[in-house]
Amino acid sequence: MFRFRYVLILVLVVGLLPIAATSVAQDEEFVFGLVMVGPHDDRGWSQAHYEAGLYVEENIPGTKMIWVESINPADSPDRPLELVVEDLVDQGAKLIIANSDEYKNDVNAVAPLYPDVTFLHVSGDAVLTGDAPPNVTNIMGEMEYGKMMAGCAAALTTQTGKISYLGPLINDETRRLAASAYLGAKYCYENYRGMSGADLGFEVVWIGFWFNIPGFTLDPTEVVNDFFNGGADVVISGIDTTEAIVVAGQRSREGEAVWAIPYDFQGACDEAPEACLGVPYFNWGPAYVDLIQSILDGTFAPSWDWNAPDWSDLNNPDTTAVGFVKGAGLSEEASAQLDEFIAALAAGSQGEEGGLNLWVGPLNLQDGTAYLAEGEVATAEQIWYLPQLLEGMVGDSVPAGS
Amino acid sequence: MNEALIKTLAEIVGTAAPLLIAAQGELITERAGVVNLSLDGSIVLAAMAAFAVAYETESTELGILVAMLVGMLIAILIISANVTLKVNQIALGFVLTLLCADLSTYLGRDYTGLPGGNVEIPYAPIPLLKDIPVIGEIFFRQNLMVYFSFVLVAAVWFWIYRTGPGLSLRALGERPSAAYVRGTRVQFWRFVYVAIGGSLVGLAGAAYSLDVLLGWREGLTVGQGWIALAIVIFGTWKPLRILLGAYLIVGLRSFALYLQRQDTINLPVHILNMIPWLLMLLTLMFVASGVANYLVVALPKRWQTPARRFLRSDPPAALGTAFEKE
Amino acid sequence: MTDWRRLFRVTGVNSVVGILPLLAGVLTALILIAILLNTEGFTMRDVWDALYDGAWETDGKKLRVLINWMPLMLCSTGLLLTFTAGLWNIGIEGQLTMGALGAAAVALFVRHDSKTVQLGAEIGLACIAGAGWGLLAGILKTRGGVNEIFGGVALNFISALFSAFLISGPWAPERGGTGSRTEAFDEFTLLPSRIIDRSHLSNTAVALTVGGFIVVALILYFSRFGLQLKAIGKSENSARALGIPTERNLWLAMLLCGGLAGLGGAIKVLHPPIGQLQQNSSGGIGFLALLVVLLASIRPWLVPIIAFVFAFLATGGQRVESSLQIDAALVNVLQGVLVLAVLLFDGIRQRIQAEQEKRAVAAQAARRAAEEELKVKSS
Repeated sequence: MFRFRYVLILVLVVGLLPIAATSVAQDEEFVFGLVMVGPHDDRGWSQAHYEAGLYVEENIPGTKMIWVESINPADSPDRPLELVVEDLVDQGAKLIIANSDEYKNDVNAVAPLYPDVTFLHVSGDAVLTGDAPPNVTNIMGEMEYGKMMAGCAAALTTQTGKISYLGPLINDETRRLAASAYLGAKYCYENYRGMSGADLGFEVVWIGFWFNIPGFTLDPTEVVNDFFNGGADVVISGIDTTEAIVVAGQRSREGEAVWAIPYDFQGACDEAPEACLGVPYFNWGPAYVDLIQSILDGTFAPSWDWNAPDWSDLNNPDTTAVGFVKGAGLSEEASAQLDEFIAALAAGSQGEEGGLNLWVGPLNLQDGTAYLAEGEVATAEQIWYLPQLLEGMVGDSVPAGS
Repeated sequence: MNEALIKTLAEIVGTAAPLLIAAQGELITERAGVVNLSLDGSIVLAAMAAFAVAYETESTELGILVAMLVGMLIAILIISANVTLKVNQIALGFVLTLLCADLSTYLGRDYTGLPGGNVEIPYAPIPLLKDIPVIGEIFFRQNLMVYFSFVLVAAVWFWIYRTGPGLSLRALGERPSAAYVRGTRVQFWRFVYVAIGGSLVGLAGAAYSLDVLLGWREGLTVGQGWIALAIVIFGTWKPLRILLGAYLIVGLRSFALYLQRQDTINLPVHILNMIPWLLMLLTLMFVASGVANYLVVALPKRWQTPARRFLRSDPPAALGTAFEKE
Repeated sequence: MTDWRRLFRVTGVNSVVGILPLLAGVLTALILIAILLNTEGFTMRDVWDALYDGAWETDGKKLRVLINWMPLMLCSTGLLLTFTAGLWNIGIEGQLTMGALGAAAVALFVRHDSKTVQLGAEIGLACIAGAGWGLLAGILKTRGGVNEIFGGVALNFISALFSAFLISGPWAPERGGTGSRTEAFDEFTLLPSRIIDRSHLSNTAVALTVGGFIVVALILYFSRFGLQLKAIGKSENSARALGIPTERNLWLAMLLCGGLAGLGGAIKVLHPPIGQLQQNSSGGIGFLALLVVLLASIRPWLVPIIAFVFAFLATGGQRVESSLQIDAALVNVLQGVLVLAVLLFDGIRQRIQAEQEKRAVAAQAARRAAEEELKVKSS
């Protein structure tokens, strides 16, 4: 009993000391809440958003980010968006950034409960379709261009003529991104390699979610290994995390001639630079800054923004919405050709003479039905709502069972 | 043989290595009469520790060592609390499963997504052997961890069935009191075997974060520990069957992927992922329920004895019970 | 009538010593967490403030705790039965999942004009599905020779995968599905609830939870079935020798436990604001319930309290994460350390008690021997 008393005293001291500490009053500041579908350090989709939040804090004095990560039914089944938003608003958030397609219906349901708070649903289309409450706005980057560059880099490098695409789940967004990669690959295979586009293998496998959920999605590590075992030598990643570049790095160090193109996050090539052909990434910072500035100025109006890359300076962190960093695995010749391709895309997107637009007919859907007639240029909505993969791509166009 | 198939088989052998190592570790533990239920947590915590230490020190060996230490400490905690305090092994193992997984998430957050190229277990094809057609390509173009998994199976088999101490090991799990009467120091040897088993489980963790799933992220190996436990049961506590079980289950996953990529067959991945669990249940039921005996009787006479021996499953009789001298 | 006073003593209501390990465990866990927090530059006070803000500040938040408490409580209640019978029903996660699936099946595909009938069908099927899954583990144990732990783990995975299959396949929303949840259930199919301060509360759910607990407590303390379960838990073989139908009782315990877990699953998916089937509808609640009952050392009266503390931590945990940006895993670490410490301290207590008893016995023997000696001498 004697010793026990000392333990008690010690415990009390340890317990009470911290209580003496006091909290500091906070200044008037603009708080924004970032709700991420994956971890903030996933080296992919969510981290790109997290770093954009830091960019805002740096560029607009008096702003403060609070963030929550891994908000999805698998990781946090007890935290529907409604509760997450309540928690963030409770802490003073005036803007909620919901960073995933996963929250599509939730954002529209929750936003009316908080009319004084602005909601940014990234990658959503509710403003476009008219379903959005007045305090909801949408932003997406024109990643189609990034994916075309990725596809081109893959086609310029492949020796086996087989490119594989590691897809997340099947929806409008992922279909159009996979299709864009295919268009870029096919164009560069034909025009720079002088091969027939029909000989280019382009397979898409969907793992079932934005990232690996052990046992429930396909394991992306196994899928990528399977791609390479099956003879593909370039894997383009469309998922939020880094498995493709990790596996390519491992195999490349074992002496295999294989490469990967990660996705989403500017620093993704660091994992295995020598096996990386480049990475198309999102740069959400400028769009976030514009939005918050408009809220602060009182000029906010909902919009559906599909933001373009800064063609004059593709990797300018203050201006571009989508960028592409070349990887060390890209040969010098391929790098030069890719630059040429990017310049042509730039010209095309600005409607210049001789510019290149890949979303021009004739293009057929995967099942052979016509998507764009000869010479027809796809509208933004036609691209956004691409109903199937394109002819020439192997893989599911719609989820199994539907 | 088709090149893609060979590569896939080699992939299966490589991917199964950590499962195989963990399952052999659990086999040793259970043969000694102790259940280390914490596998799922031990593996993930060891994986995290291996990667973190290897990354900080730039030494793969040190990472592996620390992982084994982590696995061993967890196992020692279970056995010592069981022996000295009579705390239920299952309860301890279960709590540690959850605790270790959460600890790995919490302690590992600074190591998420860091590049692992520098600390990877190096690829080491074995000269000469690697050139044997098919076999060499499948088994001998791997890394040291994978070769160790082969050696381990052989060693465990030899130890259990062909050595004196191995006989005592079996006695520890079957009839500890009889072993005690014969002069075996039951508690001491249980401690030793459980510690060894635990360190193998830790090694499996290192095999994941330094090789198969290179790098660290939250929940890296979640579920694998339970599969390893299932493999021990599916393998009816026999080292060679455990080897088959591990390859079979990883092979099934690979087959699931193959089916996924076929246009004609559309079997959902979730249904395929159920197969290991159904197999485990069916094996246990088949063996324990007496159905097997009916089938054996239907066989020709001279096949009956080998069939019976093949179908016999012997979970160590004293599995999971604390040993008391009295 | 059974000697219920003795039962109270056995279940530890009167035993202050029995609570000591719990207190010691709480202290250990708190100290450990304080140290962990200190390395991060936070104090316990910060975490407490965040927990309070997140889970207690307003009525609505208190209700959120209550909502999280109910499924946890139902699972823990069920586990009281199986633990008493000496069963490790680790398969409770799967039983909860099956319950959620049962409720969802009715909510998604069946429509009846009467809300009472509708809800009755949802909850009824949930209980049946959970109970069936529990019974299956029981049958596998007694007839198939499959230890309930391994059987339970397998059934957990099978049910979770089955649920994932349904959600991403046959039960997927018509459009815009991400394979992670079904369409939100129709308002009509949800538990009737009042909105208090943005939070929903269903009286039905509360009544079912509390009622379930009371019934189980009564069964354990007063019924012959409860007594028999205790006998089986002590030693299955001697119980069988005494003529207790062990198999039937074990099955019944698993059945009831599964049914309660299934009910928990139904409340989980039918109580707003969730109101839909999600990929991970069990969300580890079953495992958490195992921890609750372990912590309570199978003392029924402690279960609601511990479950409430856990629900409070789970509810407030998200605020800890969002306001301090500490990983919510820390809260889980706290719970894990707590249970581990209590298990160990309880072992220490039992050892000390055993030694004391041994010493007492030895002392008594010595005294008797001395008396004998005296007698011999005096005679």
